[in-house]
Amino acid sequence: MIKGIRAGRESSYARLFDMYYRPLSVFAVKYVNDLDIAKEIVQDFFVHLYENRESLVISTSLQSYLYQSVRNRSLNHIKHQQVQKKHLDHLSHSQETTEELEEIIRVNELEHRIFQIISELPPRCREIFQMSRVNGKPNKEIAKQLGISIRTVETQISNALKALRKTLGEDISS
Amino acid sequence: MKTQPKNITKNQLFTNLDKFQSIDAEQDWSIVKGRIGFNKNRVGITFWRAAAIVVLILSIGFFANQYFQTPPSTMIAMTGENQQTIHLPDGSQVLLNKNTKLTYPEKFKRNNRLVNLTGEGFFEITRDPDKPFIVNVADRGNVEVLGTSFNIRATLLDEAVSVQVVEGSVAFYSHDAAAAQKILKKGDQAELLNGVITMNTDLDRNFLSWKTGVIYFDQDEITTVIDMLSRHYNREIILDNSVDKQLSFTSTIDNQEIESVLEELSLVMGISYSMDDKRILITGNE
Repeated sequence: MIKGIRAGRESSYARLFDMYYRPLSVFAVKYVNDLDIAKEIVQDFFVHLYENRESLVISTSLQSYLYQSVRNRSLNHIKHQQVQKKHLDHLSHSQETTEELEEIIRVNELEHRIFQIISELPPRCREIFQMSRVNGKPNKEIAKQLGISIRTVETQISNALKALRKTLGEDISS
Repeated sequence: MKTQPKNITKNQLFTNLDKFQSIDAEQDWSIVKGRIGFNKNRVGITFWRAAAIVVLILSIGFFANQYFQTPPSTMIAMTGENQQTIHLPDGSQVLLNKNTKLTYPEKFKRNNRLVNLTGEGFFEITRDPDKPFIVNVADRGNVEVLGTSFNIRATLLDEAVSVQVVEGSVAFYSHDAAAAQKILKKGDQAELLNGVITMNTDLDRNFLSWKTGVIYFDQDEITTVIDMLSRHYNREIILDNSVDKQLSFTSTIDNQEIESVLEELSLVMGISYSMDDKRILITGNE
Protein backbone atom coordinates (compact mmCIF):
# COMPACT_ATOMS: atom_id res chain seq x y z
CA MET A 1 0.00 0.00 0.00
CA ILE A 2 2.87 2.37 0.79
CA LYS A 3 4.11 1.88 -2.75
CA GLY A 4 0.73 2.85 -4.12
CA ILE A 5 0.65 5.90 -1.88
CA ARG A 6 4.08 7.04 -3.09
CA ALA A 7 2.97 6.52 -6.66
CA GLY A 8 -0.06 8.70 -5.96
CA ARG A 9 -2.51 6.01 -6.94
CA GLU A 10 -6.06 7.02 -6.22
CA SER A 11 -7.15 3.50 -5.28
CA SER A 12 -4.43 3.31 -2.62
CA TYR A 13 -5.50 6.59 -1.11
CA ALA A 14 -9.13 5.57 -1.19
CA ARG A 15 -8.25 2.41 0.69
CA LEU A 16 -6.06 4.20 3.18
CA PHE A 17 -8.81 6.72 3.77
CA ASP A 18 -11.38 3.99 4.18
CA MET A 19 -9.20 2.18 6.69
CA TYR A 20 -8.03 5.10 8.77
CA TYR A 21 -10.20 8.17 8.36
CA ARG A 22 -12.74 7.23 11.01
CA PRO A 23 -10.33 5.90 13.65
CA LEU A 24 -7.91 8.82 13.18
CA SER A 25 -10.75 11.32 13.54
CA VAL A 26 -12.01 9.69 16.72
CA PHE A 27 -8.42 9.60 17.95
CA ALA A 28 -7.91 13.32 17.28
CA VAL A 29 -11.02 14.13 19.32
CA LYS A 30 -9.10 12.97 22.40
CA TYR A 31 -6.84 16.02 21.88
CA VAL A 32 -9.00 18.70 20.32
CA ASN A 33 -12.25 17.73 22.02
CA ASP A 34 -14.39 18.45 18.96
CA LEU A 35 -15.32 16.01 16.23
CA ASP A 36 -15.64 18.59 13.45
CA ILE A 37 -12.22 20.04 14.17
CA ALA A 38 -10.81 16.53 14.45
CA LYS A 39 -12.19 15.58 11.05
CA GLU A 40 -10.74 18.74 9.52
CA ILE A 41 -7.32 17.96 10.95
CA VAL A 42 -7.39 14.45 9.53
CA GLN A 43 -8.61 15.65 6.15
CA ASP A 44 -5.83 18.24 6.03
CA PHE A 45 -3.40 15.50 6.89
CA PHE A 46 -4.57 13.29 4.02
CA VAL A 47 -4.16 16.16 1.57
CA HIS A 48 -0.72 16.90 3.01
CA LEU A 49 0.21 13.23 2.72
CA TYR A 50 -0.62 13.27 -0.97
CA GLU A 51 1.19 16.50 -1.69
CA ASN A 52 4.32 15.24 0.04
CA ARG A 53 4.07 11.64 -1.06
CA GLU A 54 7.42 11.60 -2.86
CA SER A 55 9.33 12.58 0.25
CA LEU A 56 7.35 10.24 2.44
CA VAL A 57 9.61 8.42 4.88
CA ILE A 58 8.06 5.90 7.19
CA SER A 59 10.47 4.49 9.71
CA THR A 60 7.88 2.71 11.84
CA SER A 61 4.68 1.00 10.76
CA LEU A 62 2.27 2.85 8.53
CA GLN A 63 -0.28 2.76 11.30
CA SER A 64 1.88 4.42 13.91
CA TYR A 65 3.08 6.93 11.33
CA LEU A 66 -0.51 7.97 10.67
CA TYR A 67 -1.38 8.19 14.35
CA GLN A 68 1.80 10.09 15.19
CA SER A 69 1.18 12.60 12.42
CA VAL A 70 -2.41 13.20 13.45
CA ARG A 71 -1.31 13.51 17.07
CA ASN A 72 1.27 16.16 16.16
CA ARG A 73 -1.23 18.07 14.09
CA SER A 74 -3.75 17.92 16.92
CA LEU A 75 -1.21 19.19 19.45
CA ASN A 76 -0.25 22.00 17.07
CA HIS A 77 -3.86 22.92 16.78
CA ILE A 78 -4.18 23.12 20.54
CA LYS A 79 -1.05 25.27 20.76
CA HIS A 80 -2.60 27.73 18.35
CA GLN A 81 -5.65 27.82 20.54
CA GLN A 82 -3.60 28.33 23.67
CA VAL A 83 -4.41 32.00 23.85
CA GLN A 84 -7.93 31.04 24.61
CA LYS A 85 -6.70 29.30 27.76
CA LYS A 86 -9.58 26.91 28.00
CA HIS A 87 -7.79 24.28 25.96
CA LEU A 88 -4.73 24.35 28.14
CA ASP A 89 -5.66 21.34 30.18
CA HIS A 90 -5.66 19.17 27.08
CA LEU A 91 -1.97 19.78 26.67
CA SER A 92 -1.38 17.14 29.28
CA HIS A 93 -1.80 14.70 26.41
CA SER A 94 1.57 15.69 25.06
CA GLN A 95 3.08 14.09 28.15
CA GLU A 96 1.93 10.56 27.47
CA THR A 97 4.59 7.88 27.21
CA THR A 98 5.21 5.81 24.11
CA GLU A 99 3.61 2.83 25.80
CA GLU A 100 0.54 4.82 26.75
CA LEU A 101 0.21 6.10 23.23
CA GLU A 102 0.53 2.59 21.82
CA GLU A 103 -2.21 1.42 24.13
CA ILE A 104 -4.46 4.29 23.08
CA ILE A 105 -3.89 3.40 19.44
CA ARG A 106 -4.57 -0.27 20.08
CA VAL A 107 -7.86 0.41 21.85
CA ASN A 108 -8.83 2.96 19.21
CA GLU A 109 -8.27 0.45 16.41
CA LEU A 110 -10.25 -2.14 18.33
CA GLU A 111 -13.11 0.30 18.77
CA HIS A 112 -13.02 0.97 15.05
CA ARG A 113 -13.16 -2.72 14.28
CA ILE A 114 -16.14 -3.10 16.58
CA PHE A 115 -17.86 -0.21 14.84
CA GLN A 116 -17.24 -1.91 11.48
CA ILE A 117 -18.68 -5.21 12.64
CA ILE A 118 -21.69 -3.58 14.24
CA SER A 119 -22.44 -1.53 11.15
CA GLU A 120 -22.47 -4.71 9.07
CA LEU A 121 -25.01 -6.47 11.26
CA PRO A 122 -28.56 -6.81 9.98
CA PRO A 123 -30.46 -3.65 11.01
CA ARG A 124 -32.71 -5.30 13.59
CA CYS A 125 -29.84 -7.17 15.18
CA ARG A 126 -27.78 -3.97 15.34
CA GLU A 127 -30.61 -2.03 16.94
CA ILE A 128 -31.15 -4.64 19.64
CA PHE A 129 -27.45 -5.02 20.30
CA GLN A 130 -26.94 -1.28 20.71
CA MET A 131 -29.87 -0.95 23.06
CA SER A 132 -28.44 -3.73 25.17
CA ARG A 133 -24.70 -3.29 25.17
CA VAL A 134 -24.29 0.41 24.42
CA ASN A 135 -27.27 1.89 26.21
CA GLY A 136 -27.27 -0.80 28.87
CA LYS A 137 -30.95 -1.61 28.67
CA PRO A 138 -32.12 -4.88 30.22
CA ASN A 139 -33.38 -7.50 27.75
CA LYS A 140 -36.84 -7.38 29.24
CA GLU A 141 -37.15 -3.68 28.53
CA ILE A 142 -35.88 -4.04 24.97
CA ALA A 143 -38.37 -6.82 24.32
CA LYS A 144 -41.18 -4.68 25.66
CA GLN A 145 -40.15 -1.61 23.72
CA LEU A 146 -39.83 -3.44 20.42
CA GLY A 147 -42.77 -5.73 21.01
CA ILE A 148 -40.78 -8.93 20.61
CA SER A 149 -40.04 -11.86 22.87
CA ILE A 150 -37.13 -11.87 25.32
CA ARG A 151 -35.99 -15.01 23.56
CA THR A 152 -35.61 -13.08 20.27
CA VAL A 153 -33.69 -10.34 22.04
CA GLU A 154 -31.34 -12.93 23.49
CA THR A 155 -30.87 -14.62 20.12
CA GLN A 156 -30.11 -11.35 18.36
CA ILE A 157 -27.61 -10.29 21.02
CA SER A 158 -25.98 -13.68 20.88
CA ASN A 159 -25.78 -13.40 17.07
CA ALA A 160 -24.12 -10.00 17.36
CA LEU A 161 -21.65 -11.29 19.92
CA LYS A 162 -20.94 -14.25 17.69
CA ALA A 163 -20.07 -11.92 14.82
CA LEU A 164 -17.90 -9.80 17.12
CA ARG A 165 -16.13 -12.76 18.60
CA LYS A 166 -15.56 -14.35 15.20
CA THR A 167 -13.69 -11.35 13.92
CA LEU A 168 -12.03 -10.17 17.08
CA GLY A 169 -11.14 -13.51 18.54
CA GLU A 170 -8.73 -13.28 21.41
CA ASP A 171 -8.62 -9.48 21.41
CA ILE A 172 -12.04 -9.18 22.91
CA SER A 173 -11.55 -11.51 25.81
CA SER A 174 -8.30 -9.93 26.90
CA MET B 1 -26.45 -17.79 26.71
CA LYS B 2 -26.01 -15.64 29.78
CA THR B 3 -22.47 -16.62 30.56
CA GLN B 4 -20.88 -15.55 27.28
CA PRO B 5 -21.45 -11.81 27.22
CA LYS B 6 -19.64 -11.14 30.51
CA ASN B 7 -16.05 -10.89 29.37
CA ILE B 8 -16.91 -9.27 26.06
CA THR B 9 -18.84 -6.40 27.58
CA LYS B 10 -15.98 -4.11 28.11
CA ASN B 11 -18.24 -1.14 28.01
CA GLN B 12 -15.34 1.16 27.29
CA LEU B 13 -15.09 -0.39 23.85
CA PHE B 14 -18.45 1.08 22.94
CA THR B 15 -17.92 4.57 24.32
CA ASN B 16 -16.88 6.06 21.00
CA LEU B 17 -19.30 4.06 18.88
CA ASP B 18 -21.55 7.05 18.35
CA LYS B 19 -18.59 9.10 17.12
CA PHE B 20 -17.63 6.42 14.61
CA GLN B 21 -21.22 6.20 13.50
CA SER B 22 -21.63 9.92 13.03
CA ILE B 23 -18.68 10.16 10.64
CA ASP B 24 -19.69 10.01 7.00
CA ALA B 25 -16.43 8.70 5.55
CA GLU B 26 -17.77 8.39 2.02
CA GLN B 27 -18.85 12.00 1.89
CA ASP B 28 -15.62 13.22 3.46
CA TRP B 29 -13.58 11.14 1.04
CA SER B 30 -15.18 12.97 -1.88
CA ILE B 31 -14.18 16.24 -0.23
CA VAL B 32 -10.57 15.13 0.25
CA LYS B 33 -10.49 13.60 -3.22
CA GLY B 34 -11.64 16.90 -4.65
CA ARG B 35 -8.93 18.76 -2.76
CA ILE B 36 -6.25 16.35 -3.92
CA GLY B 37 -7.40 16.31 -7.54
CA PHE B 38 -5.96 13.02 -8.68
CA ASN B 39 -4.27 12.82 -12.04
CA LYS B 40 -6.84 11.73 -14.50
CA ASN B 41 -4.35 9.96 -16.72
CA ARG B 42 -1.27 8.10 -15.62
CA VAL B 43 -0.30 6.04 -18.65
CA GLY B 44 0.94 6.38 -22.20
CA ILE B 45 2.01 9.96 -21.83
CA THR B 46 4.05 10.46 -24.98
CA PHE B 47 1.74 8.72 -27.34
CA TRP B 48 -1.41 10.19 -25.98
CA ARG B 49 -0.23 13.71 -25.41
CA ALA B 50 -1.13 15.01 -28.84
CA ALA B 51 -4.44 13.28 -28.88
CA ALA B 52 -5.14 14.39 -25.37
CA ILE B 53 -4.66 18.01 -26.24
CA VAL B 54 -7.20 17.74 -29.02
CA VAL B 55 -9.63 15.92 -26.81
CA LEU B 56 -9.02 18.39 -24.03
CA ILE B 57 -9.88 21.32 -26.17
CA LEU B 58 -12.96 19.64 -27.47
CA SER B 59 -14.12 18.62 -24.08
CA ILE B 60 -13.13 21.52 -21.93
CA GLY B 61 -16.72 22.51 -21.44
CA PHE B 62 -17.60 18.98 -20.49
CA PHE B 63 -14.79 18.65 -17.95
CA ALA B 64 -15.40 22.06 -16.47
CA ASN B 65 -18.93 20.98 -16.00
CA GLN B 66 -17.85 17.71 -14.35
CA TYR B 67 -15.28 19.43 -12.21
CA PHE B 68 -17.70 21.69 -10.52
CA GLN B 69 -20.28 19.06 -9.99
CA THR B 70 -20.21 17.03 -6.82
CA PRO B 71 -18.39 13.71 -7.29
CA PRO B 72 -20.61 10.68 -7.79
CA SER B 73 -21.95 9.63 -4.45
CA THR B 74 -22.21 6.13 -3.07
CA MET B 75 -25.58 4.47 -3.16
CA ILE B 76 -26.53 2.15 -0.36
CA ALA B 77 -29.25 -0.45 -0.70
CA MET B 78 -30.26 -2.24 2.47
CA THR B 79 -32.95 -4.83 2.88
CA GLY B 80 -34.64 -5.79 6.11
CA GLU B 81 -37.46 -8.31 6.16
CA ASN B 82 -38.05 -8.30 2.41
CA GLN B 83 -36.14 -9.08 -0.75
CA GLN B 84 -35.52 -6.29 -3.21
CA THR B 85 -34.31 -5.92 -6.78
CA ILE B 86 -31.68 -3.25 -7.37
CA HIS B 87 -31.01 -1.80 -10.82
CA LEU B 88 -27.39 -0.75 -11.19
CA PRO B 89 -26.25 2.17 -13.35
CA ASP B 90 -24.86 -0.20 -16.04
CA GLY B 91 -28.15 -2.04 -16.49
CA SER B 92 -27.15 -5.00 -14.32
CA GLN B 93 -29.64 -6.29 -11.78
CA VAL B 94 -29.20 -7.64 -8.30
CA LEU B 95 -31.84 -9.40 -6.28
CA LEU B 96 -30.98 -8.86 -2.63
CA ASN B 97 -32.05 -11.38 -0.04
CA LYS B 98 -33.25 -10.25 3.38
CA ASN B 99 -30.83 -8.40 5.68
CA THR B 100 -28.40 -7.62 2.92
CA LYS B 101 -26.41 -4.50 2.19
CA LEU B 102 -25.15 -3.50 -1.25
CA THR B 103 -23.18 -0.33 -1.88
CA TYR B 104 -22.32 0.94 -5.35
CA PRO B 105 -21.39 4.25 -6.93
CA GLU B 106 -24.07 6.40 -8.46
CA LYS B 107 -21.97 6.19 -11.61
CA PHE B 108 -19.40 3.48 -12.28
CA LYS B 109 -15.77 4.38 -12.94
CA ARG B 110 -14.32 4.16 -16.39
CA ASN B 111 -12.27 1.02 -15.82
CA ASN B 112 -14.36 -1.13 -13.53
CA ARG B 113 -17.69 -1.66 -11.86
CA LEU B 114 -17.08 -2.19 -8.17
CA VAL B 115 -19.82 -2.97 -5.67
CA ASN B 116 -19.73 -4.14 -2.05
CA LEU B 117 -21.93 -6.86 -0.68
CA THR B 118 -22.71 -8.08 2.80
CA GLY B 119 -25.41 -10.71 2.91
CA GLU B 120 -26.79 -12.57 -0.07
CA GLY B 121 -27.55 -11.51 -3.62
CA PHE B 122 -28.32 -12.93 -7.04
CA PHE B 123 -26.48 -10.97 -9.72
CA GLU B 124 -27.36 -10.67 -13.39
CA ILE B 125 -24.60 -8.71 -15.02
CA THR B 126 -24.72 -6.78 -18.26
CA ARG B 127 -21.76 -7.78 -20.40
CA ASP B 128 -18.98 -5.21 -20.75
CA PRO B 129 -15.49 -6.64 -21.39
CA ASP B 130 -13.85 -3.24 -20.86
CA LYS B 131 -15.21 -2.87 -17.37
CA PRO B 132 -15.00 -5.95 -15.22
CA PHE B 133 -17.75 -6.20 -12.68
CA ILE B 134 -16.26 -6.80 -9.23
CA VAL B 135 -18.16 -7.77 -6.13
CA ASN B 136 -16.22 -7.12 -2.98
CA VAL B 137 -17.65 -9.59 -0.52
CA ALA B 138 -17.84 -8.52 3.12
CA ASP B 139 -14.19 -7.44 2.78
CA ARG B 140 -13.11 -11.05 2.57
CA GLY B 141 -12.88 -11.83 -1.14
CA ASN B 142 -13.72 -10.66 -4.61
CA VAL B 143 -15.85 -12.08 -7.38
CA GLU B 144 -14.95 -10.66 -10.75
CA VAL B 145 -16.97 -11.11 -13.93
CA LEU B 146 -17.57 -9.70 -17.37
CA GLY B 147 -21.15 -10.73 -17.96
CA THR B 148 -22.98 -13.55 -16.28
CA SER B 149 -25.34 -14.43 -13.50
CA PHE B 150 -24.40 -15.85 -10.14
CA ASN B 151 -25.33 -15.99 -6.50
CA ILE B 152 -23.21 -14.91 -3.55
CA ARG B 153 -23.82 -15.63 0.09
CA ALA B 154 -21.64 -13.83 2.61
CA THR B 155 -23.61 -13.02 5.70
CA LEU B 156 -21.70 -12.17 8.82
CA LEU B 157 -22.98 -15.20 10.60
CA ASP B 158 -21.84 -17.62 7.91
CA GLU B 159 -18.29 -18.76 8.29
CA ALA B 160 -17.70 -19.02 4.57
CA VAL B 161 -18.36 -16.88 1.50
CA SER B 162 -20.22 -19.05 -1.03
CA VAL B 163 -20.60 -18.45 -4.74
CA GLN B 164 -22.62 -20.31 -7.32
CA VAL B 165 -22.48 -19.55 -11.03
CA VAL B 166 -25.67 -19.95 -13.03
CA GLU B 167 -24.38 -18.66 -16.35
CA GLY B 168 -21.01 -17.64 -17.78
CA SER B 169 -17.91 -17.72 -15.59
CA VAL B 170 -16.41 -15.72 -12.74
CA ALA B 171 -13.06 -15.30 -11.06
CA PHE B 172 -13.24 -15.77 -7.30
CA TYR B 173 -10.34 -14.62 -5.16
CA SER B 174 -9.56 -14.02 -1.54
CA HIS B 175 -8.33 -10.79 0.00
CA ASP B 176 -5.90 -12.68 2.19
CA ALA B 177 -3.72 -14.30 -0.46
CA ALA B 178 -3.41 -12.97 -3.98
CA ALA B 179 -2.52 -16.45 -5.19
CA ALA B 180 -5.78 -17.99 -4.16
CA GLN B 181 -7.91 -17.59 -7.25
CA LYS B 182 -10.40 -19.95 -8.84
CA ILE B 183 -12.28 -19.66 -12.08
CA LEU B 184 -15.84 -20.85 -11.67
CA LYS B 185 -17.93 -21.95 -14.62
CA LYS B 186 -21.60 -22.51 -15.16
CA GLY B 187 -22.99 -24.74 -12.42
CA ASP B 188 -19.91 -24.46 -10.20
CA GLN B 189 -20.11 -23.75 -6.50
CA ALA B 190 -17.19 -22.67 -4.36
CA GLU B 191 -16.54 -21.55 -0.83
CA LEU B 192 -14.01 -19.17 0.63
CA LEU B 193 -13.04 -20.07 4.17
CA ASN B 194 -9.98 -18.84 6.07
CA GLY B 195 -8.40 -17.47 2.90
CA VAL B 196 -8.73 -20.75 1.02
CA ILE B 197 -11.13 -21.32 -1.85
CA THR B 198 -12.56 -24.80 -2.25
CA MET B 199 -14.70 -26.08 -5.08
CA ASN B 200 -17.88 -27.64 -3.81
CA THR B 201 -18.23 -31.01 -5.43
CA ASP B 202 -21.18 -31.90 -3.29
CA LEU B 203 -23.47 -29.29 -4.80
CA ASP B 204 -25.95 -27.57 -2.55
CA ARG B 205 -29.22 -28.07 -4.40
CA ASN B 206 -30.84 -25.38 -2.34
CA PHE B 207 -28.39 -22.57 -2.89
CA LEU B 208 -30.92 -20.58 -4.89
CA SER B 209 -34.00 -21.55 -2.90
CA TRP B 210 -34.31 -18.11 -1.38
CA LYS B 211 -34.82 -16.80 -4.92
CA THR B 212 -36.85 -19.60 -6.52
CA GLY B 213 -38.92 -20.65 -3.51
CA VAL B 214 -38.19 -24.27 -4.38
CA ILE B 215 -36.45 -26.50 -1.82
CA TYR B 216 -35.27 -30.00 -2.63
CA PHE B 217 -34.85 -32.60 0.07
CA ASP B 218 -33.31 -35.91 -0.81
CA GLN B 219 -32.90 -38.27 2.11
CA ASP B 220 -31.73 -35.35 4.20
CA GLU B 221 -31.42 -35.74 7.95
CA ILE B 222 -34.04 -34.00 9.98
CA THR B 223 -31.54 -31.51 11.47
CA THR B 224 -30.50 -30.42 7.96
CA VAL B 225 -34.13 -30.10 6.95
CA ILE B 226 -34.96 -27.99 10.00
CA ASP B 227 -31.93 -25.74 9.45
CA MET B 228 -32.93 -25.14 5.87
CA LEU B 229 -36.56 -24.43 6.71
CA SER B 230 -35.59 -22.15 9.56
CA ARG B 231 -33.35 -20.13 7.26
CA HIS B 232 -35.80 -20.10 4.38
CA TYR B 233 -38.87 -19.11 6.33
CA ASN B 234 -36.92 -17.01 8.80
CA ARG B 235 -38.62 -18.74 11.72
CA GLU B 236 -37.17 -20.18 14.84
CA ILE B 237 -37.71 -23.93 14.81
CA ILE B 238 -36.93 -26.00 17.86
CA LEU B 239 -36.32 -29.70 17.59
CA ASP B 240 -37.37 -31.42 20.76
CA ASN B 241 -35.20 -34.20 22.19
CA SER B 242 -38.02 -36.64 21.67
CA VAL B 243 -37.44 -36.48 17.91
CA ASP B 244 -35.40 -39.32 16.42
CA LYS B 245 -32.42 -37.62 14.77
CA GLN B 246 -31.98 -40.52 12.36
CA LEU B 247 -35.14 -39.60 10.48
CA SER B 248 -34.66 -38.49 6.90
CA PHE B 249 -36.91 -36.64 4.50
CA THR B 250 -37.34 -36.58 0.73
CA SER B 251 -39.58 -34.06 -0.97
CA THR B 252 -39.73 -30.98 -3.17
CA ILE B 253 -41.18 -27.89 -1.56
CA ASP B 254 -42.46 -25.49 -4.17
CA ASN B 255 -43.35 -22.05 -2.85
CA GLN B 256 -45.44 -23.49 -0.04
CA GLU B 257 -46.55 -21.93 3.19
CA ILE B 258 -44.61 -23.20 6.18
CA GLU B 259 -47.78 -24.76 7.60
CA SER B 260 -48.17 -27.06 4.63
CA VAL B 261 -44.49 -28.04 4.82
CA LEU B 262 -44.89 -28.90 8.49
CA GLU B 263 -48.01 -30.93 7.71
CA GLU B 264 -46.04 -32.88 5.16
CA LEU B 265 -43.16 -33.40 7.56
CA SER B 266 -45.41 -34.70 10.30
CA LEU B 267 -47.20 -36.99 7.89
CA VAL B 268 -44.04 -38.49 6.42
CA MET B 269 -41.88 -38.64 9.52
CA GLY B 270 -44.48 -39.25 12.15
CA ILE B 271 -43.74 -36.19 14.22
CA SER B 272 -45.90 -33.46 15.70
CA TYR B 273 -45.54 -29.73 15.63
CA SER B 274 -47.00 -26.72 17.35
CA MET B 275 -46.48 -23.10 16.48
CA ASP B 276 -47.15 -19.63 17.74
CA ASP B 277 -46.13 -16.40 16.05
CA LYS B 278 -42.64 -16.59 17.50
CA ARG B 279 -41.47 -20.13 17.01
CA ILE B 280 -42.21 -23.65 15.96
CA LEU B 281 -41.74 -26.65 18.19
CA ILE B 282 -41.28 -30.10 16.71
CA THR B 283 -41.80 -33.12 18.91
CA GLY B 284 -41.65 -36.85 18.34
CA ASN B 285 -44.68 -39.09 18.57
CA GLU B 286 -44.42 -41.47 21.45
